[in-house]
Amino acid sequence: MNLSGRRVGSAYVISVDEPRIDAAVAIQFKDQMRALTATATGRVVLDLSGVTFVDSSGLGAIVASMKQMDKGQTLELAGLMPNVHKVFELTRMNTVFRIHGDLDAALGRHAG
Amino acid sequence: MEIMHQTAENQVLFAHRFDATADSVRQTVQLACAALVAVGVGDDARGTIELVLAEALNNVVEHAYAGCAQGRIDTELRRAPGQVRIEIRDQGAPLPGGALPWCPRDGLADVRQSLPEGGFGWQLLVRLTRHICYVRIDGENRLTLVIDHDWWNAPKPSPS
Repeated sequence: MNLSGRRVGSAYVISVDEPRIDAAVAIQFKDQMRALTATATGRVVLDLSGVTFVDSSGLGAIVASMKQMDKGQTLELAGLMPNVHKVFELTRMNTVFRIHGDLDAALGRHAG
Repeated sequence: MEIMHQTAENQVLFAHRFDATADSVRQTVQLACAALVAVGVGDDARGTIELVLAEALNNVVEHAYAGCAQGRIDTELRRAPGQVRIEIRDQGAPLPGGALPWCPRDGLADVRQSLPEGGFGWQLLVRLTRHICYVRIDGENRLTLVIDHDWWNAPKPSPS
């Protein structure tokens, strides 16, 4: 599993090159998120458009990633596929994260 | 097509024995999904079954076999009338108290205050299943998870 980050306007966008965020990669995910967000400021957008499956361990790792961020940072999510969105809804985590339909929606009015 | 569905009661769609590791769970879940797709289970239903199977199997790896290097897990997916049945057997530690953890089906407390990083697993299992049955017999955990599924609306009949 590999995460990569890039700055787009005022946001820092993190992409996931792995279709499954599950128990097998949850710790890796959390560690890489910590490394990538260590120097980021402001909005961090996690682009999940390539992720087809998230289980409770993956969800826990995403929540942990948010909790380990600094006060000045926010973690937003973009591009949740239907079965991934369902996990957030069932656990009410959709009320905790700002969730955008896709990356363009997340960046649209902020990219300048 | 209708007759095929009626005669397919309790048909085993998938059976697999594997090592109790997170990597093997991932592989097993993907194999099970391929078996579901092969009998015409749609994306939404497949996603539900995939999640239930992954959660239940990872529970076995992380809790029943916690710290134990050489556990084995047997799992089966069965087609039953109006349902998919998942059966999981392992020889790990019994569930604490010998019973399923209590988890409310509705009215989860506001989570914003103390966001958990774990414990989502049982929540998902309870919300996605019709019922869950756990028994401990002869040193073995046997977990059955039943998910409602409308086989009649499956896009195509079983090829078998």
